[in-house]
Amino acid sequence: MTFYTKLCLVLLGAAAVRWTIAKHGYSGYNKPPMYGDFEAQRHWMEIAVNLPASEWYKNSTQNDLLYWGLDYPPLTAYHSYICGLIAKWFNPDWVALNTSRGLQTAEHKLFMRYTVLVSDMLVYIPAAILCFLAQGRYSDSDKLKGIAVLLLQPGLALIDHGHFQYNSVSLGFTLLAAWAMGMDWDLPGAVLFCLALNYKQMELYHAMPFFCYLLGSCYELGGGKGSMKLMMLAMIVLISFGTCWLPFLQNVETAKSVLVRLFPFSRGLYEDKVANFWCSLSVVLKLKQMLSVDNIVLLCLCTTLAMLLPSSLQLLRKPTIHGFKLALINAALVFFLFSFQVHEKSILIAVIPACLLVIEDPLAVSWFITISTFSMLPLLVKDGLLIPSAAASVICLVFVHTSFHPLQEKNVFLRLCYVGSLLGTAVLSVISQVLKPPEKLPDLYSLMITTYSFIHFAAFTVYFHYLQFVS
Amino acid sequence: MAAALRTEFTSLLSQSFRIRVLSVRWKKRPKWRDPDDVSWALPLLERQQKLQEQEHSKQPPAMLHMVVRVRSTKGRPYWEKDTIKSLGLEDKMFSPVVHKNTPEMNKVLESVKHLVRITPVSFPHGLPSDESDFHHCVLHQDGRLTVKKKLVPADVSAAEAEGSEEKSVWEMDKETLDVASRKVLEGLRLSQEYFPANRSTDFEVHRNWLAITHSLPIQQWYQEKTSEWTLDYPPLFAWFEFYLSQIARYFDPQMLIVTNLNYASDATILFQRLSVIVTDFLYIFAVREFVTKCLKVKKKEEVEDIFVNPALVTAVLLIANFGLIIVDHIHFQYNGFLSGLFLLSIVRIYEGRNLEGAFWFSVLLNFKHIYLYIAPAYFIYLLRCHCFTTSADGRIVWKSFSVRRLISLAFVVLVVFAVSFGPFIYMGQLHQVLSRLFPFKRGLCHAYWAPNFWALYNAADKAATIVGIRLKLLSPEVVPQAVMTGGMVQEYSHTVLPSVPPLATLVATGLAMLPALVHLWLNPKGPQSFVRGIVLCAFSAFLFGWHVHEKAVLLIILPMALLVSGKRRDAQIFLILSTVGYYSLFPLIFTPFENLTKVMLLVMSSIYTFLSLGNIHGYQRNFLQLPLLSTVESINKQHSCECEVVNLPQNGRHQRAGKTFAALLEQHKYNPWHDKNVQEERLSGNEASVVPCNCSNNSCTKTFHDKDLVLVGWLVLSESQPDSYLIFKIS
Repeated sequence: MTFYTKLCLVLLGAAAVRWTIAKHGYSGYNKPPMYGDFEAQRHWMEIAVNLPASEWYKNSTQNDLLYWGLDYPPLTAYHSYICGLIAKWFNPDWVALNTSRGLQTAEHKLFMRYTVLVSDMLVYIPAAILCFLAQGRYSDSDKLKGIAVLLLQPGLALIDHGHFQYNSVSLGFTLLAAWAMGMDWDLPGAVLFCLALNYKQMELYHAMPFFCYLLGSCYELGGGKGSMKLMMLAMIVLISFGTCWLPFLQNVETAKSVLVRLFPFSRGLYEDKVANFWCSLSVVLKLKQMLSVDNIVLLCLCTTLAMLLPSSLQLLRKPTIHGFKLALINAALVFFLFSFQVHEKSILIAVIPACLLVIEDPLAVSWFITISTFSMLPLLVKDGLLIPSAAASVICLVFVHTSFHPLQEKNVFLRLCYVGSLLGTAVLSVISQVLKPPEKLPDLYSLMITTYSFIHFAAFTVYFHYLQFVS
Repeated sequence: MAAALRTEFTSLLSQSFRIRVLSVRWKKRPKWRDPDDVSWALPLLERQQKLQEQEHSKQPPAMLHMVVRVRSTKGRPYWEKDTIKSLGLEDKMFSPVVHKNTPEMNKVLESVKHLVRITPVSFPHGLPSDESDFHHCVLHQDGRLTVKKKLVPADVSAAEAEGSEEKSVWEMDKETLDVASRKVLEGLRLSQEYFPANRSTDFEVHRNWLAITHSLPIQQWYQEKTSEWTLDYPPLFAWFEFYLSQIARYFDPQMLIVTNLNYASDATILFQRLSVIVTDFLYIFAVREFVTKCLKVKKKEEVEDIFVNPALVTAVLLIANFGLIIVDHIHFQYNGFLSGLFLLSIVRIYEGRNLEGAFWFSVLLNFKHIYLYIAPAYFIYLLRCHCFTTSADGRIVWKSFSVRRLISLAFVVLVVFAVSFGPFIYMGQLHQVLSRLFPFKRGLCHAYWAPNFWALYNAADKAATIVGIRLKLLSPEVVPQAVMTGGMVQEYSHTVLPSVPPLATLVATGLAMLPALVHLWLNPKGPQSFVRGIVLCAFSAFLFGWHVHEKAVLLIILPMALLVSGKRRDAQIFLILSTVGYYSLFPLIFTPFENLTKVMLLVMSSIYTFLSLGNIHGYQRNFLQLPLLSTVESINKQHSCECEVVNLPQNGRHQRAGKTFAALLEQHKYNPWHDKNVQEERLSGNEASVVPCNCSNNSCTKTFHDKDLVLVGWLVLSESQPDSYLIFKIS
């Protein structure tokens, strides 16, 4: 009874933080002609409601793909369709074809914020609760604290409820899948992960650990049982993909148009400044000017696969659930650091599984959470989310410190590093906001922030790999 | 793949050492030999067209030149200097002078053309037509002279005289106008929404006070009335605003201009909000003082759990107070800071430093005079406990009256008031200041009715009026059309019931306070009874006062929160009082975004209060029953452990032996987790006491060894029998 009452408190707290963030600005406010992610989501609702499914991914007079064409997999499109229907029920002007572009009204903003809050409540929050509730070895208060960290983790709340996206849906499905794996329900887990993958192709970052874990567990069963399970898994994945893609499988051309939209290789190595390997390398070596796009894609692919190999092989050999969680973090980090066309928001894909480890290793997790929020600072500042992001980070840090006491770590050197690095983030954030960059180097501060974060992320990659191999 | 990579790397290496040549893509060359292909002549055609267009749009030469000097005349020959002087350009560079565009003038200008820049003057808004227009003409740098013309009422008769066709056109125009203005309005509302959290009138009130105290001399602080939100707090608050404004300068000096009404730039919002947050630290400090010095928590029992430890619970209830968050940080006021002063004075009185307590309270009174509500409690308590002593049986010793103590008390209070009001008395403005502080013209109730007696009274009057009209006892013409809830200054006269003069509210408040004050005078049992007196005084003033704000409910709830860890009855009252009191603050916040926030925060705060107070005082788990809210704490047989009621002599020393239950169990190597007879919740480290079974002797430990009886829970059974305890036997 007390446990559930306290859980209610945690949930309400998380919802209050999210809603307070939602009060602030979103991406692309008052920035015609393209606006930002907010307008993209609204535009997809408009397209989904007004056009038949086969037209969604095709360029036509009604659907200008250059203006925020749909570039997420079908589940996102269905989600947009449902939201669009509700929007249409409230006010048809919000999703009127073509005339509603660049719509900015207070009511509409409120509606959009509610859609994010509701999807968050329906997918991510239950997933977070289940993930920790299922862990029998934790005490009740530890479970509560774990859930609170997953929910108070500032990055996701800021990106979803501030910047405006629906990452909580895909990440929530991934968490649910991980939970199902932990319960030994591999088949439902595979289905849930297919859903995540069909909501955002970005979840491909996590595909390798899932694949290796399932394959490894099949191998462990051995012989007939194992191959049976493998067959079942293949079947169920095919069926769930087929169901999701049903409206687009009518003819080859439609399916192809969807695929082309999903993997835009023409966009470039990285967007804005990202704390990954290639962007940090660009300080020394301008790769973009030296190689053609195709070669860069190839280079990225090879590097990513090579770096992905160690953790995947380890997982394949020893498919334990703990190793699987670590592999989720590792794979996402490797993808973030080395793959092609990375957004700064993609770090969330690594942070969320990392939060699952907060009880075992509070210091590393709180460090990782803080740095990941810090690495998105330029993006958040652009959306006018500076104060909420600072506040949310402080709330999260205070919570982690009062409930886990990560500073009681015995290693003095590590403790010093931790405190020093957090102070560094604070100083860098203040400097980047207060001082004006020199005219010759307008991106100086964002580059400093990304390089600073990159060094940390690289260290975290090594550390989590180490953990995985030790476990 | 490896080969591809390798070649890529080699090319990469070689390229990095070479200077790269920009490759220019040539367009496909036109075929010269094709007579039909005339694409080579396209540029020529375009140029021809452009020239034609230019010729077409040639404007008549400007009538006036705007001339500015762009170079220094230093080192120039004397004739050039003379010409510049004759043109009126000698004093400052870039100050424009207007000359006519005539051949003579142009000749003069030509002779100094290397020193000046000439721009033709254009009139995009037309020429000024009226004498008064000259005040609003602006000559821009690019030579545009814009005129803001005076608006004259349109010729109505001319519009009417127009034909019906024009009329239909006019109607359509109106429609589009409506659409356009709606769009503008929505944009405006969004930009209001876009700025974090809605700001209330109080935000503007405080900004205005910043401006008044910063830019006006002291004599005018209480005279100034540009804005309707005049300074109506006592002088110390004005000084507080004055010092704030010294910092505000560095944020945005524009907000310090008195005439800049409703000014709210981003920097202003940031500064104002930050000032509330920073001054809140005084409150946090005061809460820390209270919790560490005034709550008797046994050191050994301190569990660092904000749901269990009484000190931490009190601190959370005070600091993360829903009311303060709503009123201070979403609406806008400095209650946190003021409550800090208030709490500080209470802490000093708890410590027995009565003079300091009196000092802080008089400072507080000079910050915000709403604290006059509770001044009677202070007066009575200090008079009774500072100037008299109490005999052993609790009676007052009249002979012990100490004049020296009374004088020192009066001295402290009067000095504070003298410092605050002295300058204004000296300037002869006392009357003016007091009329600002006590605006009896503002009406019986605030714009939003505070949930007090007069709200009921008004409602009864309204109802009686409606009934009277229905029954034709009243004629509708007699009924005044005043709206009771709107506007700032409202003098509302009741129609059926007699109107209430300020004096009546004063008398009612005094009568309501009287029992509490008499009780405080007769049995002052330490500072807790003093805090109770404060709560009762605040309550009476809230219920019967003149022009009470709904925010004044905080004045009741905050001191009440100080008592929750003490008596069970206080905790029960606090639960209901805080939940309802916070709910009554809801009308303060009404924008759609904050609506959800306030609901979530209230639910959170209520859950926390119920849970933690239930933990402190212990309650029976029952699915249908909220903690502490049952009328009778019945002995519930659903617990399978046996229970019995033990009566203890009053003031028995062993009432609270002061061990957590877990410690007790540990002492006896008893693991309750394996015993299904014991409810798990009882063992969560709540404060439990050892009560001997045959409690005639005082030694608890002895009886504790008795195998038959082990105390599991400590529960006061009912308020009528405060000394009977519920004891669980574990067999």
